[in-house]
Amino acid sequence: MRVWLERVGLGRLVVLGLSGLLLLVFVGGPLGVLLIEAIGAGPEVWSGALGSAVNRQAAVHTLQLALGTLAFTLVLGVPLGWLFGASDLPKRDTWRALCTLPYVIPPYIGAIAWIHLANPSSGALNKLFGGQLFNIYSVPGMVWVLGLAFTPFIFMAVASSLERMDPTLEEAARISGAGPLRVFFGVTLPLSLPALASAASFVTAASAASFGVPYLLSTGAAQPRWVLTTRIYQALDLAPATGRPLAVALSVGLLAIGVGLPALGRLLEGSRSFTTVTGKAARGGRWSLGAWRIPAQAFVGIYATMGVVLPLGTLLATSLMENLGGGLALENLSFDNYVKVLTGDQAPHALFNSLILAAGAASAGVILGTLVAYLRERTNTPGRGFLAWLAALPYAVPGTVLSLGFILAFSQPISLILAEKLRFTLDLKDTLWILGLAYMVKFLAFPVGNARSGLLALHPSLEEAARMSGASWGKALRDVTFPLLRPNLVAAWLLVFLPAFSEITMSILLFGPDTPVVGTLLFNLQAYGDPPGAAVLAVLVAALVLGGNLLARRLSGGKVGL
Amino acid sequence: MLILSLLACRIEVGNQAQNQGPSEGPVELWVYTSMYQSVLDELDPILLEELPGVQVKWFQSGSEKVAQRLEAEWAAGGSDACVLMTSDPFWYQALSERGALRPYVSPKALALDRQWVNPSYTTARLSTMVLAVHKDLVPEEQRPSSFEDLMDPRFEGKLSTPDPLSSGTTFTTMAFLQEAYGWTYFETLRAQGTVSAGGNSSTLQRIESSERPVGVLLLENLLKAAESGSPAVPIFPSDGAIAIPGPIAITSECRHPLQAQAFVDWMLSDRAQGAIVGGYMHSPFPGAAPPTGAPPLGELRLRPWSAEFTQETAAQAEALKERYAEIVTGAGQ
Repeated sequence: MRVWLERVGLGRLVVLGLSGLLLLVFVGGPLGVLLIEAIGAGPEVWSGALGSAVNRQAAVHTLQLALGTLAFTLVLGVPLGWLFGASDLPKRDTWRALCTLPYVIPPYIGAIAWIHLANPSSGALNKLFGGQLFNIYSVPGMVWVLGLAFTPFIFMAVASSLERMDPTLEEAARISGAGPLRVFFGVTLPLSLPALASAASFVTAASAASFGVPYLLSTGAAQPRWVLTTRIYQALDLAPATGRPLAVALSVGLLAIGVGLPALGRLLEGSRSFTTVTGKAARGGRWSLGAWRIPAQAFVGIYATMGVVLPLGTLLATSLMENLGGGLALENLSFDNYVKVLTGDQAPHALFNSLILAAGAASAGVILGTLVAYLRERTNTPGRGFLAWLAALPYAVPGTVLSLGFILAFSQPISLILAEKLRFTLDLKDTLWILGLAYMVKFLAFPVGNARSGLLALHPSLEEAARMSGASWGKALRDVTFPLLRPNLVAAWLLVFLPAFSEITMSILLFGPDTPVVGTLLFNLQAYGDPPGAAVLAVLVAALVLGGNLLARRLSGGKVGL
Repeated sequence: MLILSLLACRIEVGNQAQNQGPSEGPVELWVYTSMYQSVLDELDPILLEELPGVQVKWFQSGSEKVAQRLEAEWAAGGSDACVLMTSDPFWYQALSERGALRPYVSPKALALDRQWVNPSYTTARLSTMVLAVHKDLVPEEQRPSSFEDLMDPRFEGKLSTPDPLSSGTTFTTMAFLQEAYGWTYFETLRAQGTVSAGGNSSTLQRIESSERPVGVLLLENLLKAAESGSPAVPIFPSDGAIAIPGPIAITSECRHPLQAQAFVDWMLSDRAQGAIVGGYMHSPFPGAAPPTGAPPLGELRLRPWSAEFTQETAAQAEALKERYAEIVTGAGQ
C-alpha cells in the first residue's frame, strides 16, 4: 500500500480520485437511481404504461422515426459521400462545405422552418402549389426534417473512408474487367462499410432519442404523432408527482429502441476521435463523372437547397416579417422582431444563461474528460476501464432518459453533515447547476475520446522526461502533456459548447422558472403563440453556431471545426 | 473540480432549528397564484394600505406550474405556501379530499351564489371560456353560435383550441363538453381537423394570423387583445359560456391561519375584486361590474357547476385525459 502510494503520489491520487468520484456521483448517480426505480416499479406501473394505447402508438412512432430516418439518410448520404469522396464532381469542396452545415445546426431549427414551409393549413409550399400537398405534421414529416439534418453524418463517414482508401484496390478490380457499379458494390462499399455502420447506428440512436423535432411537429397538428420522448415529457410536465413512475417505464422502452436497436458497442467505443480530419488524403485517381456531371450537381444542389438554403432562408424571411400573413413585400419587412426579442426580458436572460452554461460545461468537461483519459491511458489504477466507460456512457443514453435520472437523483436536496454543525446541502433543483452538470455529463464522451486519442499518439517518455528532470506530476502535466494535447482539447471544448448552447431535450425537463435557456425559450415562443419571435431566436442560434464554427476553423488554421 | 462541486453546494453552519421566536414586524404570507402579474401589481399598494400587518409574498406562475411546484415542495418535506389562488377547481377538490386545505368560509362569501362556495375553497374570480372568430375572415352568417355548432362541417380545417392535456382551463372545458355532448363531440372535431395545441395565447395567435380563423379560448385573452386592435372578436355561445372558477384556499400547513383568513376576506372585498375585473376577469359577486367590453355575469348564461360534477371529474381526471389522448392521436382505434 505504502509503496503504491509513493509511486502514485498523493496529489495525483487526490485529483484522479476526485474525478472518479465526480463521475460516480453525476453519471452513476442519475443512471443508477433510474435503474433502481425501473427495477422497483410494480406491475401496476408497467400495466399502466403498456395498457395505454397512446403509449403503444408512441413506441411504434419512435421505431418508425428511427428506421425511417436511417433509410432516408442512407439513400441520400451514400451517393453524396461517393460524389464528395471518390468522384471528380466540379466545385467539390464548396458543395461539401455547404452540405456539411446541417451537421452543426440543431435539427429543431429545421423543424421550425419546415413548419412555415409545409404546415397543411398555411405552409408556404402548400400555398405555392395549391391545396394541402405537404403535411409536415406527420411521421414522414419528422423523418424528412431529421433525415435532412443527419445526412451529413452518413456522407462524411463514407467520403472520408473513401478518401483514405487505397485506390489501387479499385484499380485492380477495374483492370480485371469490373464495371463501375460492380466496383462500387464489390470493392468500394464493403471497404467503407465499418465507417458507414458506425454512422448508421449513430443516426438510428439519435433519431429514436430526438425530442425537439417530434415535439415541434406534433404540437399544432390536428392529429399529433407522439413518440416516446414526447410522452415522457408529457408525463413529467402534466403530473410531476404521479407521472414519474410512468416516465421511468416509458424510458425503459426508449432505451430498448434507442440503444438496443443500433449496435451498442460502436457507440461505447469512446476511443475514436470525433473531429473530422480535414485535408487531403491518399486518394489519387477519382472516378470521372463524364456526362453525369450535370445530374450529379443537380442532386447535390437539391440536398443543399432542402437541407440548408430553403430552411435558413425561410427563417430569415419569417424573422423579418412584421405580419406573418403579409408575405415578402418590402413594406412588410423590418428588424422590429429583432428589436422586440433582444430588448425583451426573456431573450437576453436566456442567451446569457445558455452562454454561461455551455462555456462552463465545456470547460469542466474538458478538464474532467482529460483526467479520465489520463487515468485510463497512463495509469494502472484498478477500475480505470470502468470509469472511462462510465464517462462515455451518457452520450449513448437518450437525453430524455438521462435528465429523468437527474430529476430522480437531484430534485430533492441531499445533505452531508460533517461534525454535526457543518452541513453541505446539494440542492440542484431549478438551478443552473443541474443544467450545466447535465450538459457536461451528456457530452463528456467528446473530451474523453479526444484526449484519449491525443494521449495514445503521445509517447509517455515526454512526460517521464519532465518528471526525471524534477518536475512534479502537476507541473509535468501543465507544461508538457496538456500543451501537446491542446488541439484535441480545443476541438473537444467546441464539441461540447456547440450542442450545449442550443440543447433542448434535457433542458426542457430540467429548467426552472428562473433558469430559462435558449432552447426552452425558443420552444415556448414557437408553441405558445410567437412564431416570429421563435424565428428570430432560431436565426440567432444558427448564426452563432455557424459563426463560432467558422471562427474556430480560422483560429486553428482549419484543424478544429466540424 | 473540487471547487466546482463545492460551489454547487449550499453550506450551512449551525443548527437547522427554525427561528420560531416571536417575530417582529409584519408577518410574511406566501400566496401561490396564477393571477396575472398586472393584477398583482395593482393589488400590492392596496394591500399595504388595508392589510398593514401582513407582508404578502407572491409566487406567480401558470396554474399547472404552481401546482407542480407546491406538490414538489410538499414531497420534499414542506412548503411556505399559505394561500393558494389558481384556476383549477379539480385540484382544489383533490386537495381538500386529501386534507391539505384548511376549511374556511369567509363571511364575505355569504353573498356569493352557492355553487361558488365550498367549505375548503371559495371562488374569488371567474374566467370564461367562449368562442372567437377573426372578424374579417368569418362573415356574420358563417360564425358559430354555440359549442355544439362547432361540429358543423363548415368549420372543417378552420377551428383551433388550446390543449386540454396541458391547459387546466381547457381541461375543464373538455370535461363540460364531454358531459354535455359525449366523446362524439371530440371525435367529430378531430375528424374535421381541429388543432388543439398550446395555450390560450396560441389559439389567439392562430386566429390573428388567419391560420385558424375560429377558436375556443378565454374571454380575458380576447378582451386584452381587443385593446391593441386585435381582429379576434368573442362570441358568447348560446349553449352557455363555460365558467372556470378561480378558487382561493388556505393550506392546512399554513403557520399564520389568522392572517391567511384576513387575506381571503380581503381578496373578496370590493377593492380587490375591482382589481380582478381590471384584469379582464369577472367577479363572482352578483351585481359586480363586468370587465371592459364584456357583458355582465347574468348575461353569459354560464353553465352551472355542481359539487358532484367537481368530485366526479376530479376523481376521473386521468381517465378522461387518456380517453381524450386516444381520440386525438387515433390510437384508440
